[in-house]
Amino acid sequence: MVVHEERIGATALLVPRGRIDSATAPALGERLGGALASSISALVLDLSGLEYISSAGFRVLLVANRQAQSSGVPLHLCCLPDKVHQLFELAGFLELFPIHAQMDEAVAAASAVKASGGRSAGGA
Amino acid sequence: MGLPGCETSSQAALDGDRARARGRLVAEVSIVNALPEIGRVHEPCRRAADAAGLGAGARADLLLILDELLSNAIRHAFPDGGAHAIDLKFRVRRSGLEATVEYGGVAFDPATAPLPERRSSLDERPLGGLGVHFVRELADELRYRRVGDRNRVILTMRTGAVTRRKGSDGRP
Repeated sequence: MVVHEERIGATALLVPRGRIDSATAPALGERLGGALASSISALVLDLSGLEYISSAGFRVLLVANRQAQSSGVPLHLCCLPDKVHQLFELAGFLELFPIHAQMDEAVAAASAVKASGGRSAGGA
Repeated sequence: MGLPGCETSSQAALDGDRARARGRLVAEVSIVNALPEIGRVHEPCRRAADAAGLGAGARADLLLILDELLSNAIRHAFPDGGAHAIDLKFRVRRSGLEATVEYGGVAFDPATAPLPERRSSLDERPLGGLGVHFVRELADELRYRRVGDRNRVILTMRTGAVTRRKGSDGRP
């Protein structure tokens, strides 16, 4: 797994590619934790390049979600491939995050939450 | 005399049927009980998936299932530590690809082990058991036997079972 990272204004965009499993989940956790500890106003996780995500990956997402909530940074997801969407469904994680079909939409929604001081209901 | 020859042919056909029933061994690998070892399973697993004609989705499911089974075994089967072998065999059968995972240590049946109750509050949800939940949902068949002092988990991924996955039944 490799993780591409960029900033769009004050929003951090993380794009992991490949597999998130017991070997790679800790590295994703470090990248998410590092981004959330930096001075960002929102975080978007683009999952378009994922082959699959195991239970170790879901644990990392849960920790990141708690950290994001405690630091007041909206965390939105986007672009789930069918396989990844199925795993989110099986894990019961579809309701945990605002999930969007498009990256632009996710960045706009996450940024808007921070700007308005509230939390959006999420999209597709 | 013709009969003995017929018997030989029948016997050969019977042997062939038995061999097909057992499946054709297409890959095997042994790892030791350390998490970084799991990566060594990927190449034989992909090779076996190709030999069985599994699609990309089923191959990804198999890799995920093995990651869950192996990481679970490595974390929990050997509480006293030490180096222990975990053996994997992949066989192509008529129905698809059969993977066998065999290891010693603490007995654990992923097919019937009770899972923690899922709570309604996702933020409070305990994640223990999620890996086993994935294994049960994604494998087309899952069997377990305790053989002597070893665990034997046998799972099958069917060829061409495109929409077989539970939870993908078209519900919104």
